[in-house]
Amino acid sequence: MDDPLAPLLIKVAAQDRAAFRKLYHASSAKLMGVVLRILANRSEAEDAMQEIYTRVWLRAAAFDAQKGRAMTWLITLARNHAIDRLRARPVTQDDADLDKIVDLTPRAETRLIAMGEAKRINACIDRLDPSHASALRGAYLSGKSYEELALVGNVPLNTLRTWLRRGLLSLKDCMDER
Amino acid sequence: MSADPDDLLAAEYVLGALDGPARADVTERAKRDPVFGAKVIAWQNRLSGLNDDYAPVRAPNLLPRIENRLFGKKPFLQRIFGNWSWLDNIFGQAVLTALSVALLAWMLSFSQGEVLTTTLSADTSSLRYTAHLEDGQLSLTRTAGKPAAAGHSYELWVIFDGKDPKSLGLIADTLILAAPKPETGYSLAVTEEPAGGAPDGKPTGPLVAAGRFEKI
Repeated sequence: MDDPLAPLLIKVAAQDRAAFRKLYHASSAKLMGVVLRILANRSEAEDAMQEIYTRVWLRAAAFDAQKGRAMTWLITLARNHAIDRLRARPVTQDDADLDKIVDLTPRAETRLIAMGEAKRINACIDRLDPSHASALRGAYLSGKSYEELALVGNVPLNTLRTWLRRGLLSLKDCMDER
Repeated sequence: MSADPDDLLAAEYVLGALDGPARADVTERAKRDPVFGAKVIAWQNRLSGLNDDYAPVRAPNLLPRIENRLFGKKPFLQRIFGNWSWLDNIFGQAVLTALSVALLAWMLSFSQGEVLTTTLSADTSSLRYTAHLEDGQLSLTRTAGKPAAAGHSYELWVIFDGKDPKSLGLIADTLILAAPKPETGYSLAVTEEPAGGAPDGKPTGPLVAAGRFEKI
């Protein structure tokens, strides 16, 4: 599959600073979108971005183009760091930061450009019970814990956990059968 | 619910729904256990289609700060090396590369907060020293590499930004001395010199280790 960032990331692994700059310019808007969505705080998001790209430089050698796309690798690194920061926060936080658990269906244009895994997962998510589907999507995008999701969505914790687990398993069955 | 609890755990981890302690456990496990790690990667790929729903947001240009953190300030390197004629040769390039590695190590330690320990190293040699500042004392200990060969000595230099290197004396396995003032905001470098040290107070031999205490 076409993966334009993979050659850049491979050069970064070889300590190519010019490639690192190109990679930053090519990927920072997407990663900022990820980090800001999860942290919901611009200055913390900027701190996180610095840490994330520092790690990109240091860990680029771990990227394996056989195992996935470069953007997926970058987003995984960014999401993991942002979620770790989120977990390190005190449990209570400003209401302004709380996102709704029910995340809306993807924007029309992303539907159109969705390809590969995106197309498959969206088709599979569409087969889930709508409340389970939106819970799953919201959980992934926000990186919130079961406890936070239950609190924000006003759903009992066990119910929510069951929804999400069921959703994940159905998703796997659906994606593996295609 | 699932035939494979590990697979479900990997899925919940990638979903991001585990609480702090559980998440930390799984992070560690994924590093140690390759079979489990593969399940995590499979879920990352499986759910990666959801990444399309993250709308891009224009990021400020953080590159200068990131590069500074990773590679150090350019002016700082130029200020140090601009004065050192012995570096104006092919070896100089190697030393710059080497110093950037040393700086990287330092930058990383510095990013953790107030750090009064730094490592001196260079990738042109296996020597490493740990430098520690405490109570007005600077102590250095060789943690890797060999003592200077017969007929040579290692000499320690302090370089304040924009100033010429100043000798702090010869260094064997350890050296304890009064910390230079101000206590931070300088680099330390070790060069290989003729036995007894550089003859006229300026470094003449190759750089074998370097590190820095940043201004706090």
